[in-house]
Amino acid sequence: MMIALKNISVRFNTGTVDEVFALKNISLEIGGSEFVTVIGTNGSGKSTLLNVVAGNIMADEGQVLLNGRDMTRLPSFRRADVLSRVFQNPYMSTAPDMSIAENLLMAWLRGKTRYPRFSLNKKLMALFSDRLLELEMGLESRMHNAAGTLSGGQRQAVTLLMAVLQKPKILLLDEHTAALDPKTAAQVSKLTTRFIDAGQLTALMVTHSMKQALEMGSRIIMMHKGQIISDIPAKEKELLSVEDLLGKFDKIRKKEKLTPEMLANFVRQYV
Amino acid sequence: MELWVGAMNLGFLYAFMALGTFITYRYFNIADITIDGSFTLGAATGAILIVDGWNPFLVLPVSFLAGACAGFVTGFIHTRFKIDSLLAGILVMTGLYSVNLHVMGRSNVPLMNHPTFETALTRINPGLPQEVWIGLVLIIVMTLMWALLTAFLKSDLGLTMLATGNNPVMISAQGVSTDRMKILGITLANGLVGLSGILVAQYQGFADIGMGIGSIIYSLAAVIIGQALFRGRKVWLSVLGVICGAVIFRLAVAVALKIGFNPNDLKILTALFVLLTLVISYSLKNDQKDNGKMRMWIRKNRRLLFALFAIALLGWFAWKSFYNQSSQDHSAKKTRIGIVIANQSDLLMKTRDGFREEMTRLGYKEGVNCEIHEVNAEGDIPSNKTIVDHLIADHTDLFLSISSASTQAIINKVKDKPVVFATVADPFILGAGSSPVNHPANVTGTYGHAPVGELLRILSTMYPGPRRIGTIYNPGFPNTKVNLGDLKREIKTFPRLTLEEASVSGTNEVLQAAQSLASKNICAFVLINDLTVFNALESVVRVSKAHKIPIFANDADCLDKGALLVYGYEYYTSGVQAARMADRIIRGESPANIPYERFAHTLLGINKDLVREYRLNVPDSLVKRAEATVSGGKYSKKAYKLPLRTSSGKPVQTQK
Ligand SMILES: Nc1ncnc2c1ncn2[C@@H]1O[C@H](COP(=O)(O)OP(=O)(O)O)[C@@H](O)[C@H]1O
Ligand SMILES: [Mg+2]
Repeated sequence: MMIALKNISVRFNTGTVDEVFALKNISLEIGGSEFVTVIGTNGSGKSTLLNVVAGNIMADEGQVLLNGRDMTRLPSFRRADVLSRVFQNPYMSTAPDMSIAENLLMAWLRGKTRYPRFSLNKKLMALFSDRLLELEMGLESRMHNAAGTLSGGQRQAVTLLMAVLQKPKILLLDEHTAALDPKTAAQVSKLTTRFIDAGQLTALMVTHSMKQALEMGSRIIMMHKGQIISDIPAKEKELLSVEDLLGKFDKIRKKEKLTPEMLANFVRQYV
Repeated sequence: MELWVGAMNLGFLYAFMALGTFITYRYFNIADITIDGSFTLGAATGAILIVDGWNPFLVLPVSFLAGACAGFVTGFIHTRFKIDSLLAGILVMTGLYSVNLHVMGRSNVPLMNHPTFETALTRINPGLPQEVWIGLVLIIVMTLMWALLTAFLKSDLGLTMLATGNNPVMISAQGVSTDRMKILGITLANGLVGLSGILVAQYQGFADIGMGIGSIIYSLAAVIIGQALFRGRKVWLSVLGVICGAVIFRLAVAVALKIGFNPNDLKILTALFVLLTLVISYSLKNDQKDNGKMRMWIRKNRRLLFALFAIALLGWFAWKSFYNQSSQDHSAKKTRIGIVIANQSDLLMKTRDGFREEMTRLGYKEGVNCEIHEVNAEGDIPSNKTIVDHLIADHTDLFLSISSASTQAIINKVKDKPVVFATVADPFILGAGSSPVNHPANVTGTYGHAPVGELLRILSTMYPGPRRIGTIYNPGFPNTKVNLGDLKREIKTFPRLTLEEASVSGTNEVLQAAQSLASKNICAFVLINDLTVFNALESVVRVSKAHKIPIFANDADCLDKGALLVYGYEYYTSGVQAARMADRIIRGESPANIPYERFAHTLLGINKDLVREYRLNVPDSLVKRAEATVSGGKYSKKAYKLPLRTSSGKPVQTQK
């Protein structure tokens, strides 16, 4: 197993009136080179799940195994040699005051000791230039510009490149196209698939769009109120349509007694 | 010229400190107050090793390491225990005060007669004026430093540090421990600060426990000036900006001193300047949601604000310099006397009055046959040196230094003009010669430890039988070590007396110290000369009254403030003696032939009211000897006139 979560629970604001169970006793196994998409209502715990895998949030209970190693207690930076991640907010994944090349260098040095020496030589610049070319955004000619001057879509593309530059085993993506306009979002999605395929990566992608969940990846996980309510394997997924997925949500609706307006709102949000 | 080059050189040496602050402030947004302590730590460690015989260049890495250790501690407790960086810095800085005192073993380590980088450079001086030569060498050193630091900050490690401050989430996702990076940055920064400390100590000729106070504001000012000079994210420009900022700051201090500005006002100006810049840079930040009216107004009018600040400053300067110009008009024939005073404390002011009034009596009139230029460092130690440079630039013919700190600054610097010192406890530990007749050729003056032996003798006649006495002192104050040593030595000759000590580090601890002594069943407080204790004398008096424990003091001024008996020097006469020495020098005698004089006049004072109240047995002979008394709540003093005699005993001819 590449990712194995065992009985993970995460609580916030323990012991106060605001106490929430962000994750309730979740168990999940994801094999090597599997591409899993995660969908679910707002606040259902998708981001928390990714944070637990990445080590940004420590689970209150349970175990996290990555690539066969127990990493439950390791902080995020000690997991970086096996996994990398892309956030929803384009501002979170690059250092705005540093140039694109310098940002890429930071990713290039992932898992390596950083000595006072100069790795950013001509050869590496040429390599960065080639990789930037793959993004098809013309960024190879702007390598010395500050990352802060890029648009959101360009930043997410660079971030994606940074995430796969030193090939990780696991890639975590948290609604990384949500903040982009449709055209750029499609472009970034295309890059995502290409990088994951090329690197044979194990990927866990949270998405706000059921369409995207169906188009990308091999397996779908549906979350609700901190629990995995449905785990659709590849075979079943191929036969599924957006309507089927909505049907599944409809069941929840009945259980949760959602009003039709709330459902309409829901569809607007997700399809 | 000398003044400006000297200020530039001092700026270069302080630039190391500013570069340290640049790293913590620009990279991690931390205003690291540890540097107030690590600056002194670097100076203390290096100075002690130099005195021990180390090569002045070899101590530089050691001082760097000492500072770095201090930074490591701050970084560690900040990151490991999630203690706010400011608080972590304050904790370490506070602790370092004690460490520094222990490292030095006293509050001040003179380097006067030891090799420093300056003496090493002098040896290979190709014939340029001293400061210019040092300046040239420093320009080369700073260029190297500039290149080195820029290279480091552009390296993999430096860029990772930048990324840590810029986007901690991103860099930890790249497998970097942000805690470790911060610790590294703060450690490195304080290493540079420690290096700056020993360089400044070697340059000014001593390390002092108070030399680091206020460092953080000065270096923040330098960093901010640097940012204003070169905007943008080019590292080599930012580093250059900081170096220039440090120099500009020191030049501004020199300008202020040149026009007779009070260095105390400089502190609030610096604070205002830093505040103004911070407020403006805050209002310029875009990513804040709050765009309040005040912020927008500041944002729009930021240039106006700076302009107003500059105009106010210039106006003040202009007015000051006009005022100074009109009060003194330079012309060639007058003797120019430059007075340097360390701070505003009572005994130094009395010395000054004694000097000035005796000069008048000896026939010197300001503006007629002499010019007296008096500058007070207001307790800021590095200012003593800048003042001296300023006086040299002003073509001073004769220097008077009042206090040990000022004397140290002057004798380190002035070798070809006569120097007279006054109110110095022990010139020999400052490095000014080995005996009253064997001293530097251009230096003479008056000195003396307070006569603590005589005070103890008087006390023992009043208190028969085995007794305990208590004393309070601040080990962080110059001269206290000398006086305390005297007390400990003298008390051995009175086997009946045992000494209880209480040390304090500031005036607000004196009350508790006095109370703790009172609880130890002492018969009297014996106060050696210690400015901290004298400034908090009221606290001791309170305890003294409550427990009926009389105060014996080595300072004449304590009598009308509540002491039972005083036996000590009158510092006014120290000034008088210094004036007579100055007079002899102006008439052509060489200071080399004028031996150091001990303070000539000791005053005995008794508070008769307290004697009655405590029912003490005071021998009549003693009461008769007393020149000053308090009786019926009234203070009275017999007039005293210092007889006019040269050292050989002949009466002196005055100009009148
Ligand atoms: N740092 C936090 N502090 C308190 N509550 C949090 C925190 N992060 C998430 N939560 C809560 O946990 C629940 C799950 O959040 P999240 O995982 O962000 O949901 P999703 O990404 O699926 O929208 C929500 O109820 C949210 O309010
Ligand atoms: Mg989320």
